[in-house]
Amino acid sequence: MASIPGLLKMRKIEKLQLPRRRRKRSVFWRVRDDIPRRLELGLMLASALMPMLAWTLLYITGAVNPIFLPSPISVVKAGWEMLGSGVLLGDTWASSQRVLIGFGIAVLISVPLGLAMGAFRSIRALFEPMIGLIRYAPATAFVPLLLIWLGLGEPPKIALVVLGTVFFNTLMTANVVWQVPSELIKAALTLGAGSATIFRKVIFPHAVPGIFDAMRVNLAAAWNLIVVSELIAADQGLGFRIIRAQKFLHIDQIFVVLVVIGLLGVASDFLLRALRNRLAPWSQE
Amino acid sequence: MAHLEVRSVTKCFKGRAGAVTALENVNLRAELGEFVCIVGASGGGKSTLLSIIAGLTDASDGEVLLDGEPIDGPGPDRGLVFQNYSLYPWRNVAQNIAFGLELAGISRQDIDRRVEYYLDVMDLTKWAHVRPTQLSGGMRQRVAIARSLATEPEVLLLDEPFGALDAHTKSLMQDFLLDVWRRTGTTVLMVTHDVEEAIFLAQRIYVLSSHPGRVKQEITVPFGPDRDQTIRRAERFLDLRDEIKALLLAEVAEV
Repeated sequence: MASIPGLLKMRKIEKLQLPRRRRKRSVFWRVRDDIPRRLELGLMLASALMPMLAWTLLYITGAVNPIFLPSPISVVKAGWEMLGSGVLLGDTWASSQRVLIGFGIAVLISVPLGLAMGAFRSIRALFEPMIGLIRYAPATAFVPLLLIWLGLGEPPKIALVVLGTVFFNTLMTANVVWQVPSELIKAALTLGAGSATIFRKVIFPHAVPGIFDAMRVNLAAAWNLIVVSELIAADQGLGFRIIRAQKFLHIDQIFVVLVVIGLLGVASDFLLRALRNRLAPWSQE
Repeated sequence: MAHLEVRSVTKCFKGRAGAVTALENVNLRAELGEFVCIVGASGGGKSTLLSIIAGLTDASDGEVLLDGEPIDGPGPDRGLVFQNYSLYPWRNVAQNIAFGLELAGISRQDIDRRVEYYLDVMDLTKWAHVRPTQLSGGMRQRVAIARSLATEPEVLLLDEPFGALDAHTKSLMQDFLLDVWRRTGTTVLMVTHDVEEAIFLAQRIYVLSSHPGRVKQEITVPFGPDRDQTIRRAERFLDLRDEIKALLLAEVAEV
């Protein structure tokens, strides 16, 4: 039997002296490990209450002039009034509608395109350089252009949302498809599937949860963009309400709108996540 | 005429560091209903060979014949089982087994009947409605084998199917595979680096050299199909094991 060369030539080396340390295991700093449930809940609660607490403290101590920083109570009051007069609902609906239409268009373009780019090298070669270039142009820099091109109505606002989300969502969707394990595709091939079947029965189902995760990220961007677009030219919407409140120094109203935008973001993310888990229950295990 | 024949297959990969010959003039065959193993060191082009037979990879030269007809691309006549679980996580066990049958376009009733049969053969009936993520490694591989067998392939290709399993599960799976092979009479071509596994299962073994992969020796295993784990202690088994191990070790020394 042949011997393995090198095995006999091994030289000796002195024993490695490492200091023996007994670490006390931290409760807080455990990489990826679970922490006690009560600690976790406590930290989560603290995280949610922290902004409220900081705000209240700033107000009570009088560190900031009340004209610039309203009290939490006055904000609740302002919110109640805005709700009663119907402006809040009107603004919320106007902005939501724009996000819905704009992001809806972006999804209708980006998901099929991303799927095709992920599945076919040819489509990827055709679109990736172009999209890779355009996506670095900041969407908000298009606002003046969009106003010139599309006027002052709904089209420039919706266009901004589309422009600011469609490219990222396309690339993220394509990325999701690239991550489909090649064994799944090869197995389908040896079981007799053709390209169309593989796309329909392997790639698409595997990509569904990832597509929704990409949408969740980009929907947050859509909310950002719609407020920006409304800051500049609008007669209704949450961004418009902020500018309006600024003109009359209704700082409390600005705070109301900020809270509403936050809640809308959380709610829409929750909805998308629920939809994802409904459509791909296998992915959460 | 052999059932499956690999004729002077050569495969070169062009990499950054120049061309690498993974397989060189490989010739082998499997008769109808035979269990054939290919053993070789890791990275020796065994998987590439199986991939070429499956039709997933094109050979640089040579051809693969099934009943004398050259193969062209992948198809359900050559089912392939991977080492890593290639089950569809959104389909439960029964639906995974049904996948190839659905693609074949046979009636729902017929699919159900056949899925039921393979669930029974593979001892998976209890797990029919469970998703693959909830199964152990051994069970997942049983599903993968069942899925390939369900379309009744001419040849079942197994690429280190038990490589990721623990020793105990592996041994159980070997018994299982032997039993399934005896019952279904399918021609099996299996790649493994586990010499004992090859002797225990195969009727014939091809020892593959590496860098480049060539058939170094063809060995007929001196045990009949009705064998069990006790042959592992037989002298002929141990001698054969040592012989093949020596062949493989000589490979390592040459590197």
